[in-house]
Amino acid sequence: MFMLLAILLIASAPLFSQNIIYASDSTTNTLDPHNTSDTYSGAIERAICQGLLGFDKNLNIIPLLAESYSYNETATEYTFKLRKGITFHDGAPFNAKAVKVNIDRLRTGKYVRSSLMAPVKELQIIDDYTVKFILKEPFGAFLNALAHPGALMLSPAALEKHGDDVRIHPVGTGPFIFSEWVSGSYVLIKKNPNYWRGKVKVDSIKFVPVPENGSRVAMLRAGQAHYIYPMPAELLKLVENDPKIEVIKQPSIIERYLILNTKSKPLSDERVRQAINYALDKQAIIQIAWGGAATPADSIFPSSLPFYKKQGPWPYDIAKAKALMKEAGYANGFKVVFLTPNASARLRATEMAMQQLKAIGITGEIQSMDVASFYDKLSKNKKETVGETPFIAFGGWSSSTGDADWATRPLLSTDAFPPNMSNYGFFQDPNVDRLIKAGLTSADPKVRAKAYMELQDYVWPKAPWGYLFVDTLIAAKSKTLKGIYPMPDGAFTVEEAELVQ
Amino acid sequence: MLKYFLRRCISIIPVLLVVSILVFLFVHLLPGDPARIVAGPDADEATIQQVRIELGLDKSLFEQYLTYMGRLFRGDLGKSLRSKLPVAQEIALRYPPTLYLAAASMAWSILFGVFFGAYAAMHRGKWQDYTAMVVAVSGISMPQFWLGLLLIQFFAVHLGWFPVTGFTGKWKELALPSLTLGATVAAIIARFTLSSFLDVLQEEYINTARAKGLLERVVMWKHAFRNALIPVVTMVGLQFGFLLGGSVVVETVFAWPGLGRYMIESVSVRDYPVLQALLLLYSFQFVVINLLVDMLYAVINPEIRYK
Repeated sequence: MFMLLAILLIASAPLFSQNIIYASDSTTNTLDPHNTSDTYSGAIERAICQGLLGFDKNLNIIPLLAESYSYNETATEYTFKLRKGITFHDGAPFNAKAVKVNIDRLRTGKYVRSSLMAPVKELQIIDDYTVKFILKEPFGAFLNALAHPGALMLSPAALEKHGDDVRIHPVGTGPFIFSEWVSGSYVLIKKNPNYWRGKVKVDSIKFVPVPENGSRVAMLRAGQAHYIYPMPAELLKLVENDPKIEVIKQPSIIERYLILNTKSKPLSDERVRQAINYALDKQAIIQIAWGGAATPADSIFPSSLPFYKKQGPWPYDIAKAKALMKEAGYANGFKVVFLTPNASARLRATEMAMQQLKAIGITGEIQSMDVASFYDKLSKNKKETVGETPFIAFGGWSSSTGDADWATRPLLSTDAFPPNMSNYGFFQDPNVDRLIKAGLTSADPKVRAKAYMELQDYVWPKAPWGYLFVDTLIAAKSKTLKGIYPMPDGAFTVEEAELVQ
Repeated sequence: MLKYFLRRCISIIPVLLVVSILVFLFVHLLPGDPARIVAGPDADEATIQQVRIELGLDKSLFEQYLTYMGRLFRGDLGKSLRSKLPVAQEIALRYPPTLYLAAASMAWSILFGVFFGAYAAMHRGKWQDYTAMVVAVSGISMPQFWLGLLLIQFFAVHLGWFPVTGFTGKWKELALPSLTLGATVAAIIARFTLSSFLDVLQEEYINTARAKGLLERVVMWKHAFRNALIPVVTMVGLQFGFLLGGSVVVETVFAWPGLGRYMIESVSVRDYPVLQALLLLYSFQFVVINLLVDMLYAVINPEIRYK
């Protein structure tokens, strides 16, 4: 009888472990949210720490550690009511003081994400569970700054204990508790048994860097990983018929385009830039260079961002392209320099664009280099001298705040000329600057929507770029795994992760 | 002999000094700004400048060199620009996996390489020779990433005998990567052993031995083997030096947490202190291995003496 009972007891224990392995091409750089510049590290931090606000899986802003918020009409004062009864993993209470410690740390200006809090003039503690941000000037995207992974809340006790070494001892309020990080091998997080939003369904998640595409897919197929990202498009056929594997596709907020040096002749001529857009066969580039994992760009920023307004895609029409070139006085074409990072897909895409532009007489040599050298080269251009060398460069952008402001201001405003920000084509238009400012200086969604929609209508035909496409993110997972989603910015959410049979 | 050994040991110091200067210059001459990379693709110039100050990259190259050398003399390799962890700690984490992989690959490639090389030499011009050399040439020409993925596909995914990737200290995890890495080395050693044997077999003393009526087996293993081994040892030493640097390809395919992958990651983010330390380590390993190889000559052939 006892034997039987014992067997029954053993049998009723969970039959399979609830430990998940997440294999990715990226490596963790740091686990200090305030000092993180890469999406992958930021996504792991989000499993451990939370901010006042966060994003849902469609990148809509949701309140997290803040219960509610309000702001004044001129977007200079933001008040947050904090949730009560939440403690950090180390037992420190979450309250207004904890918020101040974190924001003050960012405001020292010493961290990579300090810029998020640059607009803040003062942070007032109204009471234990109310804080008020006073800004130096109107800033309409401030809510996005607080939803950004760079503004996650760390335990004040941990900050005091470890100082900047919190990068290897992150303590937050999130669904998972940081357990172990073996540099170069893995990061392990374990479930938070006292999570304030409810029960966490898995025991642990291990994040493993696997740089080689084929090996990542092999791990999934051999059952040695539950989730892999990115799933390489060229290997999709291998897993699509596997009954144990599910492929997830997610439109991203990553837009790719050809940066055109608008300060140099003949690219300074709007008609020439339009001709380039007519001459680009977006579909062909997507199919061949990008493995089909993209959709043609149809505005100056991707449709997953707020205030998006559909404009295109720009039609592929060689006849029209040639007519425009002729009208501009370049019927015989001209020479440019093509610049590209040497990562194979980007190099292929640039080579294809080069091939297509040959049809309207635009030719030139290609210079490919590693990513670091590429951005080094672009950011060293000066507005006084950049006009001397016409170049076309393969560019891309992801608005890390999930807002329209960060998808336009760093790329198209006059303030964003290199080295300050990323307007590598030196596009300059007073009307654009005015509209970007209009969107930035209001927190009222209606006012902002009007500004950004007008901006898209205005910029699209001016063709500052050769518009290419918006990436589709592809992940693959075991069918037994539920609740892990890729986010449009290339991050992921694991809060609802669950293993089923 | 001992005196020679000590003199050689001391001569390592000036070599490393010169290397450290070259390494510093070489690394800083790479185009690309680490501050820009650390700050991320969407950082503004103010943030990048702040990072530059944090990392000490705002100082002149000469000042940076003095800091670097000053630290080096105190045995401090600095901190990684990317992870902010001490470089020595980062390397210590990745050294054992690379060492195990190198040792395992070396062990079985010496075994197979020398055996097949000698075997082919004994059967010069016969089918055994041709078969051994066809295998060897394929071993040299097979791309490692292809062989690695093939082995993964068959032994890890299909048969499930071995894990696909990673290293946590189990011998099973060593099997496929060391096989992949060793294939090339074994082939190189086999080719080398063969040609070295053929050279030695033309020597007068071999003819003498044969003329004495000694068995071919005795001629091969007693008279030819030791002498044929000398160039092979040099070769093995060199190969081991390369392996200790970590194989970029094999470590990438098998997600091996070793030095080769670390090197590539560090190059792509221009992690100066890590690159400097790794290059210095590689040079040091080579100098030491060369010394050991020279010492081994004397063991193999007692007629070689050092003064």
